[in-house]
Amino acid sequence: MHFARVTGTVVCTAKVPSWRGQRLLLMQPTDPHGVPEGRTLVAVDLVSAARGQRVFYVRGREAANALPDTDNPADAAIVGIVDDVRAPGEPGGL
Amino acid sequence: MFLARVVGDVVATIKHPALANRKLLLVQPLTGDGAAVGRPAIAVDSVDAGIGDHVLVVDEVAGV
Repeated sequence: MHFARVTGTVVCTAKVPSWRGQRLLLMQPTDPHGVPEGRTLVAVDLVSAARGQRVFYVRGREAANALPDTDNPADAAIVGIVDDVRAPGEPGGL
Repeated sequence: MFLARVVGDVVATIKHPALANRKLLLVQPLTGDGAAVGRPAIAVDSVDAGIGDHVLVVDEVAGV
């Protein structure tokens, strides 16, 4: 799983039936410190995350498996909201 | 699957039901020589690992 920050929402009326009722969010992947890395992704939100929140997500088939109907085309799914990251040995802390 | 070292843990109250009561660890991927490579990831702990332990992590998306 990987860190990201929610940057926006995606409104999408017409979508595949297996995504009915699912929220789609825009998120910026980050490192554990919250520093942006890589390109913005669209992910299915399974934890009611809000804009600005730090979250973690799964990719690939694991993302599709996280939805109630697993026969769906998701390739990224937000599965948790980060409260804290504790890494005592890391320089600068997290 | 990749080699990694446990460098911390992640606290998350709100998470997918499949992750309920599972410990989440911050893992730093390593080369075969034990050098850090790439960015740390979050992993579900299935073996009661602790900080400093060398572990194997499975990730469906290869090349992390």
